[in-house]
Amino acid sequence: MANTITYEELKALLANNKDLILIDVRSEDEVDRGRIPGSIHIPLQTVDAALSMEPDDFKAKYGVAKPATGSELVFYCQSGRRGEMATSRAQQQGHINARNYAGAYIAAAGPWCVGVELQALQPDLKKILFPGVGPCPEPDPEELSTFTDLFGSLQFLLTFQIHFPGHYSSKWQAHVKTFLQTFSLANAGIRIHLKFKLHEQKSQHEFRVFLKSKVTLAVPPPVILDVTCSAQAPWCNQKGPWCQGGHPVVGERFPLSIPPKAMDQGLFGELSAQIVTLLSPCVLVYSPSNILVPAPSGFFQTLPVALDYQQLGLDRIHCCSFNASHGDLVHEGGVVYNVEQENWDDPRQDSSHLPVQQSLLVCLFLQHSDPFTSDLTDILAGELLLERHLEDILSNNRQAVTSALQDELFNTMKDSKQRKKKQEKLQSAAEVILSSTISIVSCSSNMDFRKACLQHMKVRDTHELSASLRESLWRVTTWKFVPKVRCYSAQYAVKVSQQERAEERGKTCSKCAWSGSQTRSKLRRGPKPLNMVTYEELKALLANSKDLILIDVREKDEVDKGRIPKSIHIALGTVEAAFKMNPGDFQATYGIPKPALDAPELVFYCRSGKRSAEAISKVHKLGYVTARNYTGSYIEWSSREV
Amino acid sequence: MSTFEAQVFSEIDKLRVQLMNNVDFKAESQHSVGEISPDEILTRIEGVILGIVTSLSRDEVPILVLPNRSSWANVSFDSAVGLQMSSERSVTSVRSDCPSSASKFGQILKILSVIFRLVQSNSYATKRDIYYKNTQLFGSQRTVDSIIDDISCMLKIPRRSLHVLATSKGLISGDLCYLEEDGTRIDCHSNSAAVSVSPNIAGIRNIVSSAKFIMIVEKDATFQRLLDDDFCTKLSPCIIITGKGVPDVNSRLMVRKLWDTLHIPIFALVDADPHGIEIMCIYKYGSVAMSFEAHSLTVPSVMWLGLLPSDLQRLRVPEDSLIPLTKRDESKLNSLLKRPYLTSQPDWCKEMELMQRSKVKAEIQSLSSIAPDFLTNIYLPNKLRYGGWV
Repeated sequence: MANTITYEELKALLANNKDLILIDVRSEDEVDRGRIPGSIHIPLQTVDAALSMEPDDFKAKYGVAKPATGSELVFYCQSGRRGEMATSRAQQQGHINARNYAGAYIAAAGPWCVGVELQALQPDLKKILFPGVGPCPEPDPEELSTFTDLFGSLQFLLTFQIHFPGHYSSKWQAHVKTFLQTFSLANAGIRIHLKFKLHEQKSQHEFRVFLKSKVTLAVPPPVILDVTCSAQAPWCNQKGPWCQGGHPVVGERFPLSIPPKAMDQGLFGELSAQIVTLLSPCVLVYSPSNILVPAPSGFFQTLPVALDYQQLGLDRIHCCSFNASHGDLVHEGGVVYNVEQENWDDPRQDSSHLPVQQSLLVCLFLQHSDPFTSDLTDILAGELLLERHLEDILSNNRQAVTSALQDELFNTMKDSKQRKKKQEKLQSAAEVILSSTISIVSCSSNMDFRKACLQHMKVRDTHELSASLRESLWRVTTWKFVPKVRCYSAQYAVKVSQQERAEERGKTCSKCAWSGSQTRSKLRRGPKPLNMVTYEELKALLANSKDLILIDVREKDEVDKGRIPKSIHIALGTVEAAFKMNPGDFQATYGIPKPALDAPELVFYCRSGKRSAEAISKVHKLGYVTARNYTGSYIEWSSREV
Repeated sequence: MSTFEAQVFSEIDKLRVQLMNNVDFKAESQHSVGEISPDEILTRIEGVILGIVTSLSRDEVPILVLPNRSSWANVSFDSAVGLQMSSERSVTSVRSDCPSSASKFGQILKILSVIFRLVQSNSYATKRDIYYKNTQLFGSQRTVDSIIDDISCMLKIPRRSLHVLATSKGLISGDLCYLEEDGTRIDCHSNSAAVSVSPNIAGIRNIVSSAKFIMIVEKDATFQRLLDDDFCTKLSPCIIITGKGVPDVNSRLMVRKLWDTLHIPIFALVDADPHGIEIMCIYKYGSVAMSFEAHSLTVPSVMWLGLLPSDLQRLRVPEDSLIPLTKRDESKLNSLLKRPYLTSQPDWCKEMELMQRSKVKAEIQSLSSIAPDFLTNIYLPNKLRYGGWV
């Protein structure tokens, strides 16, 4: 049973099937802006009521005969999500042929699953997950955490089929890829594999983000933001020696008032917003499951006018693309502004110091909590309301949002401005260095010296020497001063207090506007230990360090299936005993000398990083303070090594 | 008259004989031989440039390594030379890729190129000229001065050989005649006006003097007072010289030059305070910042004539003209007592410990509270006559 319908199918049905009832479940003002011809309008909230009406009443109200339970029903909305909800409600009422016209191209995970039938998912899930474990509507977070710690993260396999291969095009494929790219950037914890199979042609892609760190917001209720840095930012095509890391700037939280119109519709509670800015090539992401939704257009279109760019050190900001014309592949759903520098002294002519194209990502996180709502469905409805009224809400709070944005942009640009200043200083110094060097070389009557200089730079005369020196001086000095260490350092990592676990997750829902587009978020669990080792660090240690002691704390059968080279197997249960042994016994049992208490490179790993963390806490108590955890553990290792 | 003169200078003559016996002429002649030819200077500068070009050709950041001129770690003490740079353990690197030092890197190279041209064309420029040629780049005269000293230290070439001159602040007067490099004849006999120390000491020739001693005066005011009181006539023949406070290199070079030519005793008349002692030490033993040139700057034969802390007690200088030591004075005194050269000067240590105990200091002018002409007519003649130096 397929409960979705594609554009082509819908077109065919509209043309041929007179019995088709197409129902628009959007709100009234949305419908006023345009609708699919032949559709009738039943807002989502009234779908249940409408479908349980007497046929006469229905006819009177909507102008068409009430559909029989077997007739073709197609629901649609803006993005397909409300359509999905309406479809399931209709199906509950017996309209077995109700289908949803999925506006989106691609299936996505989570409760907002569009175009994927949950029943159809089950067999696939069972293949991957352990037998007897199926998707449950709302797993207990604690249980889920324990489960994922033991068995690794959950995996979903989503398959979809293109009904008309004729429509397959490279442009289409690019769209899919772009969407997945954005999706992967927005979901730090999710790895996406995309496989295309078309007429024996196969192509495979993997979308994932490699570097992670977190920003913890101190304000209650605490929320962790996953900072994800794509190994190569998609829109940064100039690769240079500069910092690829992210420097997220977390702004103050400010309350937003809820406009009366939204309140009338049932949106109550407290609403606050928080701006996080990040200069790319790095990307900041909200976790765990985010679907990007178009931002309200009006507000963001007029936003640049309200900003004081003089103060930001920018010459002009203008909104160059808006909300995903389909040509804009990167920021689908977002708003893109361009910055025009008027005194741009056209450095592009000089190939040796191309300016770095930086993009600034502004994330607007909305947090909504209603103390009187505890039911999941109410929360979801609240989210929907929030999404629909976002434009109103933002316009209502224009002043607060704009001034907060201004402040945050100023803060973010401060570093950049400082960097610019330093760059200028460096440039003028480089000019002096060059002119003085050239002056000495050209004045010198010492032929050997001049020859040596020319030979070193592999040039023929002083004129070429000047150009070549300039080029290499640029190469070595530009961007060298960016403090790389600040990128992923501990200052953004993590101190999640115990309160967070006690947080009532169900009551809080947060929304995020990503570049102006919204995403949803939940709270993430658990503190991340600071004494950890990344894959890259471990690789380096394995290659270079003689002192590395790598300990595998998994069970024997797991180890037999594969292990990291040079590792020693000490199962979690025996770790404590092993590290209490006297050195002679340890050497005899494990074949290596017992590590010293301050062993420089003592690294533990398991499958997911959970058991190794436990092992570390055990050895810490025994005095091995330097022990570190390879948090990616064997899951990451096996996927990266293959 | 001749017997009076003999009496006055008997102690000084004794001191001179003593000093002459100690002088190691061999060592001195060795040092004077170490003159560096212009070609050698050019080659050294070219070496620096070649280093920069080489690192650039390897895509490495050019770095200039300068010996640290402000650290005692690089300095050792030799009683014959004074403070000399013995090692280059402590160095400063000037990187061209770091915004804080890139401009210094540029300034060093700029001055190197200026020096290169000066040496090549055998012309001279003062530090002031260099600064005014590009005030925007250097920002202040001090920057230029310190960079020139850095370059001189890096290349191991004295500043004068780099054809960079400094305007002298020192003054000299007394029984002295000499020829400047350009042939001008300078006579320092005039009683009323002092002659300013030549900016090009190396070019001085034909020094003629029958002076019995040289007296270094710390302060310009005291120097002028001595001139007004006709000190040079009263204790003729002698030479007095002042560096107006902390001496510049030219004044020190002048003292050294006079010592090398005349080999007559040199006395220091400084305030009885830690600062005065420090100034005297700079003449005698040199400074850390210029230790790399110690061989041509220090005069280890300098004697401390006054004002000795013991003089204050002996002469019963009125208490209201004594000044209590400040905290800074005391810490300065302590650091002076720890300097390596003081171990060879037990008498100096005694005087300084006396100051430490009495917790007072006094300026030379305080003697005028005894009598207005006490300094010129009583104090100095008696000190010189009876050998009251340490």
